[in-house]
Amino acid sequence: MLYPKMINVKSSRKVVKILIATSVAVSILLYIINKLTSPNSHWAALSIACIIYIWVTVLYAINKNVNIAAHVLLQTVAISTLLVYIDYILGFEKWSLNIAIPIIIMTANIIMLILTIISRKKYIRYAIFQLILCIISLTPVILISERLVEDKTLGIISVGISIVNFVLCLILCKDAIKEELKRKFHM
Amino acid sequence: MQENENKKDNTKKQKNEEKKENLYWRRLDNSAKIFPVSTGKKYSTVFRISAVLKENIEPEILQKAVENALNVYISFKVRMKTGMFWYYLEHNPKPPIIEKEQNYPCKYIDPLTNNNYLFKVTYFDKKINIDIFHSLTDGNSGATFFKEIIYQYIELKHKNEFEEELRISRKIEYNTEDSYMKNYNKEAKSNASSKKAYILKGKKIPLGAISAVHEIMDVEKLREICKSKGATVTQYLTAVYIYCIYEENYKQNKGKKPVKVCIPVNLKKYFNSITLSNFFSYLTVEAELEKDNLNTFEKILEFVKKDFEKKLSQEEIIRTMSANVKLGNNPFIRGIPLLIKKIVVRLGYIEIRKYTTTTFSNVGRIGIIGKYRKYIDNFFFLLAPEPVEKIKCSACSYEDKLTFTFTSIIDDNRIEKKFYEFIKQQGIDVYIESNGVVDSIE
Repeated sequence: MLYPKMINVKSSRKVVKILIATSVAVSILLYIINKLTSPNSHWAALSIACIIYIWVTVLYAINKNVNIAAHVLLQTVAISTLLVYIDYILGFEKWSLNIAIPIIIMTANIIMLILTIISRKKYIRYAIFQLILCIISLTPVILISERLVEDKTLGIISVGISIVNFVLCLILCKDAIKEELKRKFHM
Repeated sequence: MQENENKKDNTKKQKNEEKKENLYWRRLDNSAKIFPVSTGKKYSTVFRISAVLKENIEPEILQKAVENALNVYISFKVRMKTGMFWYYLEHNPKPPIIEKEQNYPCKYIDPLTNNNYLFKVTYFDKKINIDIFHSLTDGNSGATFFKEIIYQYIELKHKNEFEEELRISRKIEYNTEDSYMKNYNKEAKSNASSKKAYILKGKKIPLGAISAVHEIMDVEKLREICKSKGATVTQYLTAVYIYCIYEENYKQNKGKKPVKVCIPVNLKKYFNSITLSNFFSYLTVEAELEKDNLNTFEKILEFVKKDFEKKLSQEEIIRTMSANVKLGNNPFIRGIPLLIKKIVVRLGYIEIRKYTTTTFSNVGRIGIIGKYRKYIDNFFFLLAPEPVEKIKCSACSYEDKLTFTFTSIIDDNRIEKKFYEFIKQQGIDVYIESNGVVDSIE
């Protein structure tokens, strides 16, 4: 016999698909309840945003080949977006821009720096994410120049930390960065 | 003291080796560039080579054999990464995952199930399969790598008999150059046909199943018949295939457009290339069955012979190859970001695919070193069918057998059956093996 008798076509993502469908159903239900019970408060929007955040995180996490620097980058963007949205729904008092985003950027940069120091040989795998994070880390500069934040202290500190992170990476892993850029941008 | 220094030297060497591996990357060759851009679950662009051994497969030994083969052919130890303008290949530090066969042949290779390798090795009973994504290599080099896996497996399984082979590795010469870039002619003009092709009609097999039918025939008798007709084996089998399409699909559906069979051509022997990357071109046999009244096998064979003669000249092959290279080399196309390229190519491919009825690829003889032959029963070569090219055919020969394989997503086997009956009528010994997705033929 050349082939297995019962060919079992695996549907490894079937469970995920069922759970996503359930999440969509729950979101619709929450929206309807919100509209019927308290139309002036937008608590369903917050819940739906959290469900979306959970799925972004879960779907990325079950992709076992994604490297740790990519996780850090994704979380930086996802959490920041979620917090800005929550702030906006709750009346936009700008705590997300004044406090949350700078703290997230600081944390992400420190994690990347630790990653760089402890695994310099594997740095080529982190280089592109590190560079993207450095660009994203300039967000507080834009927020300050556009006068979107009242307290500049945390923003300035976070940008300072990301500059230190960037310079240290350039010093420690110049060749890896050059090599990675050559790969990513070859024509 | 000396021992410590040796240890230090070894660790240093190992670290340097690791660093070198981490830095290994290569561009996709000109042919390979198009596959990841146009591929999806429906268009897997995967081919399979299988070897049937004479004893049951032991997965632990197979795992070791694949790892050993990867150490010999390091260019296969890669994963695909996304660049700004093109995909590229880089060193894959993880081991490959070997699994029991549980899916249809030539299915899309999900990188997540295979530690990101561009090939997948599976086994069932006495059979070892390798499914290879075309971006990695072509059928010819795929067979070379697969043969190494089989050699390694047999050596590990029969250690006593292969003591010497286990000690001394085989001498292998290869590179991964892009032979297209080296050999294409900048001045050559395209010779592509502008006519759309007849598309095979038939109900699709449900649930994404693929039918595989192997027609295994006596190669000596086949050669004898081909010689008497003044045709090569590939020409003869192409003609039989077109005839079967005519009788079992074209006639009933009152086809008007030409039946166009795409036949890949191995360019490595034309240009003395030792690359392990893709280096093939193709010729398209364009049979106007209705217009030219090609309604008997004899007429079709004469037509195929003449068409081959015309299109298999080195000049014609260089023209076909060069046209494709020039397209991929166009500075404007190179500068388009990958994301946009993907959308444009996928849209373009919906139209391009209408220019081929089917593909028939003959990889020829699979040569095995004498000592290993007694452990191997046969080899098979399979191509992935697609929504437009619903049937694809392939052939390879081993020892005294030639296996002609149909892979199909059409829920009947009339063409396969006609082919079998025709070959049998010619007095050639033929028998069938299949994966039983559609009804039995014999």
